[in-house]
Amino acid sequence: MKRKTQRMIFVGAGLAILAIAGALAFFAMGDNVRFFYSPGDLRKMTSPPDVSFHLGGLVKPGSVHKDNEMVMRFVLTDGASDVPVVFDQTAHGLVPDLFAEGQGAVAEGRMGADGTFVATRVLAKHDEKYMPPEVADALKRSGEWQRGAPQ
Amino acid sequence: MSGWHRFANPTRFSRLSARILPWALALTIVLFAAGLYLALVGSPPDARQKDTVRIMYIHVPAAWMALSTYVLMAIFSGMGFIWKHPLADIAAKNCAPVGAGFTLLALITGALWGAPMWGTWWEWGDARLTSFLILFFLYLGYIALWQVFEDPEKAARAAAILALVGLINIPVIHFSVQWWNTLHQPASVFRRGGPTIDPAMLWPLFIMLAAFEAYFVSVLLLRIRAEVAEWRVRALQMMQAEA
Amino acid sequence: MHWEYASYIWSAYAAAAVILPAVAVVSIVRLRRALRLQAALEAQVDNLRGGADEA
Repeated sequence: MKRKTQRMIFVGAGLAILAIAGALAFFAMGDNVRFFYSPGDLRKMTSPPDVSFHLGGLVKPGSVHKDNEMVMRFVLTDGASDVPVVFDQTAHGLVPDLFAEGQGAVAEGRMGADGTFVATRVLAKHDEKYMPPEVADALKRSGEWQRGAPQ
Repeated sequence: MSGWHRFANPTRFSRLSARILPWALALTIVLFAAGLYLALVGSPPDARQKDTVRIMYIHVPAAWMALSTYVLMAIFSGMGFIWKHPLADIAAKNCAPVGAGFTLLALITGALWGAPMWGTWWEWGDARLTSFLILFFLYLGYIALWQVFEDPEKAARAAAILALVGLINIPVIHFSVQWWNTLHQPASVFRRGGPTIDPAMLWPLFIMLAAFEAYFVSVLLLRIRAEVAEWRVRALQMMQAEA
Repeated sequence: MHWEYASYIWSAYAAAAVILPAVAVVSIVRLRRALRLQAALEAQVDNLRGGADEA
């Protein structure tokens, strides 16, 4: 019985220490685990990173334009801040099917001198909402279509 | 080998599992038949993903099972560690290969969904993807630890400690999409405010989850029975050697 | 059946159709072998005991 209690205390204490260590690691890692920076994160920085990084946000409705067949421009927004993006599809492949105005996207690339983000890759983000096309159409018609904010 | 006699109630377990197994197997087949029909034929395409949403009916149950199997394995490990009950150790040990299978399936189907939808198979910087890969390695490490030790008692103790330490990864996986910004979408079902999946897709998903659950119970019982029989074989061989 | 689904979709279902049955079949084979061995050994032990009792 004594040994059993000892082992129970050992497991209990071990799990408690583990939880504390995990929480400490979590707060230490904090922002470094982000997959992408938002336009707002970028504005808070004194200067944009000098390396290739991910920029994520909502593709601003009405902002997608094509310079020609393959070079596309759009604006990534988090509601408060906007960043214009240019993406050359000849060199880097097409945008995914899910890429659309009002939807989330993540661009990988560098900040250009003129404040335009030069993307070498564009990924589409999906939100947590799943519905059949008829339901989506009905929501759009009734004006209750909510555009998912990027998470 | 401190003994077969300690191995208190394998007979009772065998009798109980023999009664449950046929039902669990039958349920697995029926639920998978219904679930696959609903997933592939009887459910609508998604407004944005179109038919690719059908990968979800495999991916999401596999991922849930990968997590819940790990938690169960850690609970059995803790029971085995504290009460030195070999049946708990055996249960924990045999959760691992099944859980590893679920994890691998979730990783593969996730990549198959990500390629057409996100435009990428895999992203190293994503917290959800990376923590899930760690789960796979935890399962593999756990399986390997059992093989390393000659003495099953030592093996059980070492493996139990790994299983309990690895438990920290479970909340990290679950909350990764909330704590950090990720490419992976946030939770759709187990979230505050209720599911954000249309009922026409939620029901097939739940049927598939039930099918995975029944499959897990069936395979786990089969494996535990096999391991108990193997213990008995070893004990009989020792009896023979002594005679 | 909707055979027109993209290969990504079928590949996901194929992965499930390989991994899940594979784990199940391995487990069934293992159980059957163990049970067979157990029955054989138990018969031998019974024989030994029977022999010892007669002697």
